[in-house]
Amino acid sequence: MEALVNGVLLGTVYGLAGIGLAIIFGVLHIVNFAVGELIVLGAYTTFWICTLFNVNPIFALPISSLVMLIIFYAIEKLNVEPLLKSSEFALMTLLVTYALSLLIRNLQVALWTGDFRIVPTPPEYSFTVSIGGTYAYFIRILAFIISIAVTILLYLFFTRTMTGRAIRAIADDLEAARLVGVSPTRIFRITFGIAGITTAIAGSLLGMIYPFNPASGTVYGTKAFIVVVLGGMGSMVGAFTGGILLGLVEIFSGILWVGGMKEVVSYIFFIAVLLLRPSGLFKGRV
Amino acid sequence: MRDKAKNSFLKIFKRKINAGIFLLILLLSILPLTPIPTFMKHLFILLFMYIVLAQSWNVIGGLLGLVDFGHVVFFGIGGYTFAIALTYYNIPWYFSIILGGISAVLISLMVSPILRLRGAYFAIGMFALAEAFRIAFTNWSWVGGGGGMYVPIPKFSDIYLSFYYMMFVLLIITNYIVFRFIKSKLGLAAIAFRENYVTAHVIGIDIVKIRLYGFILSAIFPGLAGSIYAWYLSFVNPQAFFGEYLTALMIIMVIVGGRGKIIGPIIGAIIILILNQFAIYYFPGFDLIIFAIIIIVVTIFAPEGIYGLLKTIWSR
Repeated sequence: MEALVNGVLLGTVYGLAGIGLAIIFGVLHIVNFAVGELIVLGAYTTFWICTLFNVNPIFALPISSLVMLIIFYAIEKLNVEPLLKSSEFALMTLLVTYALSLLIRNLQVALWTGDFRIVPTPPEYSFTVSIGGTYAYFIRILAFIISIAVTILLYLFFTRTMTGRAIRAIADDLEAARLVGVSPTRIFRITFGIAGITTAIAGSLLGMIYPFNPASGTVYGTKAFIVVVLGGMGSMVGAFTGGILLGLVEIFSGILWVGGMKEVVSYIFFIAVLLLRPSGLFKGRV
Repeated sequence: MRDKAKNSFLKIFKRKINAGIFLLILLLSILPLTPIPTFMKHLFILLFMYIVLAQSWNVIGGLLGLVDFGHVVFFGIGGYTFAIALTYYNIPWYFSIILGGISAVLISLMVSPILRLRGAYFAIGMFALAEAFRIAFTNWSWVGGGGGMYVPIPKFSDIYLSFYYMMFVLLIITNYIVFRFIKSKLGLAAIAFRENYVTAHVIGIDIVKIRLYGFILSAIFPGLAGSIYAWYLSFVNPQAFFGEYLTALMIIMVIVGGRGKIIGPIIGAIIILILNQFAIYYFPGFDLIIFAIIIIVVTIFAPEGIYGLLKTIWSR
């Protein structure tokens, strides 16, 4: 029961981390290999805002979202747009995002060393709440609530607003969307911006729960990929469900397998998922 | 008439290239006998190894049109197999090196289902594989865990000279076999598939077979190189032999040099080796950052690498 509660709480954050990857793939068909490093960058941004200005991490979230939005926008503008006309778009963007992952991770090491950090949360947050007979940390519940809220807001944005519908139209059929007057370039930028916000929030929440260092990027990146592959590439709802599934698998396997080999198991699990269900457990659109 | 002239020109040109390659091989084989500094020999050993690794990645990344983010796995397997065979089982060194190549091939056969995956899935799958191996070897105390294990120091009178020739032989074998593979029916079929997979399917090209052969071929040479390098360092550890650094090097050398051509990785390896030495000397710790920026700039502005740039300048 405790594992179930904790798995769901953690899983929603993973789901949010996967959404950034999923919508970029859904709209632009880019596999953002640097997703893990960008999640950690989001965590660092919040960490520095909290440490330098001594603010509550919840209030730091909007600022770090804005910072990450600008970073994602710059990535789209500088690295993706010049490649749009390339005949090997998928391969080239994969290489560029791979290079970005190297760049961001090693810059983080050079600037902020390999020390483990954790986003500081106020001491009055460190209590536990009883849920259905078990206890859970308040921070995890807070992370759960924020993740759910952001996901619902995103869902409303995609279904209710004009821009959200335009994004879905582009994901569905680029040519048809262009014919009815949707500008792909603008939509691509907005998509990257939204991915930046979700990545920043997911990274900050993970940074409050677990200590992180630049090498965490690889771990979180793999998790984001597992989430998205489980849920089906390009599907937002799928990514969210995949997140909860991963959270459960992780918490339950954490009880069963102890020690460093746990990570090996998670990588093998990932390769097995890739081989057995390359289209994901759920099929759907953004 | 003009065709005939062109043909004879090509023939002479080809003969000249062959003569040039022969001369280069001759020159490189007597070079270490001249009194060049030891550091130069070390650089040449590294260069030969880099070319071998880049050429192997080129088979997958250039010829098969797949991106591989974990090719270092075969290098590491070779290195560790060699270390275990020589240290724990006292197997003669020449046989241990071959064992390193064999185990790389065995691993490539075991993981060959990954080849069924498309594009990005293959890249991420290989990345996950390399990470799984790195963490598994870090936690495996029999091979020294994260600290790695020592390999007996070779008992050659001149270590640098011996390793120069070992890597040199491997270099020639690798380039020859990769060249033959590119020019073979399988290689041509792979290019056809890369250029237009619908047509290739229609004329009956069996891509699964080609990919499998290419994959095995691209695994064996890093395995052998890893064996030799493990002995050269007299040391193996998970970070150096399964870490991302060498994969990044292979990718950047092929991208900078030019994908899919035999000369591309060679140009790339020379440039990157020189750059790398400068980076290590002047900007220690920043080498991967510089490489990452180079990959981004080259992919965006010169997707065909330096070979492609030279070709456009020459044909102008």
